[in-house]
Amino acid sequence: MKNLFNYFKEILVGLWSLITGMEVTLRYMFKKPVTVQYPKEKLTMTKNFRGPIQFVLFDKTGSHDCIGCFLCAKACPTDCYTIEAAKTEGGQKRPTRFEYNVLQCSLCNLCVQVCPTKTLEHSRDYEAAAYSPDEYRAINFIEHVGKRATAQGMTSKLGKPVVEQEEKPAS
Amino acid sequence: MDMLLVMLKIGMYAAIVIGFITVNALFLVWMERKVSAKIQLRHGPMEVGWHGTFQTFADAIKLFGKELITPVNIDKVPYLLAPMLAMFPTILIFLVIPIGENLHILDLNVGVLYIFAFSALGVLSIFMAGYGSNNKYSMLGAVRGVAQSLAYEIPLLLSILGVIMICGTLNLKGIVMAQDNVWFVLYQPLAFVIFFISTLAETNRAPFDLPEAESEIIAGFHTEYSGIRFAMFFLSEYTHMFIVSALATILFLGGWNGPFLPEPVWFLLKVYFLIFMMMWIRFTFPRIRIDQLMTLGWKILIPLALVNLLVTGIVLKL
Repeated sequence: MKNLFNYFKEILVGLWSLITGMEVTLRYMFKKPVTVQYPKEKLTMTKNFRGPIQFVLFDKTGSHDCIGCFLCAKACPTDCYTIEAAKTEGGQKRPTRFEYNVLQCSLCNLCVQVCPTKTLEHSRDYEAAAYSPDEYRAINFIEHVGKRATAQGMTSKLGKPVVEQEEKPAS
Repeated sequence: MDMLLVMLKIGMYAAIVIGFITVNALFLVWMERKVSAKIQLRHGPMEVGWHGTFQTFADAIKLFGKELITPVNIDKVPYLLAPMLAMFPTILIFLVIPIGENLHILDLNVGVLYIFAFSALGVLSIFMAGYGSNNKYSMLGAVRGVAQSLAYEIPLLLSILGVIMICGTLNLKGIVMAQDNVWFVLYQPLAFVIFFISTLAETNRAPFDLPEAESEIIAGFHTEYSGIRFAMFFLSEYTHMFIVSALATILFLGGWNGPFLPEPVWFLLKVYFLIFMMMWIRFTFPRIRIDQLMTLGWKILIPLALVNLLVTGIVLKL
């Protein structure tokens, strides 16, 4: 008798667990899909996303605030900065050449931490791509990425080499 | 002249049935992908047509263009015959399904018997495909298919006996007419559950898709098939889903009975709801083991179906 009781109990308990499972899937069915239709919709990365390094665009001056102190180049463990700086007419030191090699960069955040004028930041760009390492290196990450820069009329320089990049000092 | 008319009639019926089978399968594949996507928080096909409506048409065209690969050491006759034999019973079963009161091709007195006789043939095509392919995985899938079909044919038939006892006819139209006021699912809820579980196993749907368990035995019995031969198996699987759902609708859910809407609409609504249930179950439960499958069939479903039959008999006699 007890066996018979257990037999039916097992069936009912099993059936109930099945129904619980089906309830879960039904609830999920009416949730919003988490998938993003990528080329049509794009996600914005969070603030602490570490993309390639770029200059901060200060609204006040309309430019970056690099003073050519070479601290980022010194802090960089992978040696990806090539910087030359000179004094301008106003007596302010500004970089005349600021090269950043993305392929060497380990996105370690040290240069951002060390920058005295807070003019370096990680961009939130995640879709920079090129057909060869040379082309990829030629993307001017320092200047182009981030929506703020493009909004100010600074367009992407995809494909254009940055060999001798003249930095205009803030007027 | 009469001969010509008869030929025309047959041709028309064939065109309707085959057209419906094709469109139904294409729609079901799309629906299955959409349901699975929604359950897994995805979008599913979105590119071809509105929300991917024509994705399955594109897939079908691609499938028809594929090369037909015939392995070397096969048993030619069963191998080539199996895909056709998979399609053949499903087309024949369609002849007797009444979609509305006067919307059927054949009105047989033994409609239920006819359907079960032909749907039992489906497993023969599975076994022929597995045996003819000369492949370990195909053979394993085929053997599993036969064992499963044997185990679940019995509770399937036992569960509908209750319905047959209540209305006293094997005629599908008669069964639906008997449910004018009350659907048989209210008289026979246990039988409906048993019937539904058994049909899942009969159509090789997850969680009973052991004959084609892709994570264990590649594609089971249709491992060696490609192109349109594979499409035949695919088509027959989805048509089989429609048929068993239609049968469940006729036997338990009152067929075309329902207020306001026209008869075929009610019928199709019920059928597609049951098919949706099948998809919902597929994407909820994992595949069960072969011994669990056998335990469920022989030790739970058959005794329960017998108890149900006994109780029905006693109540009817009182």
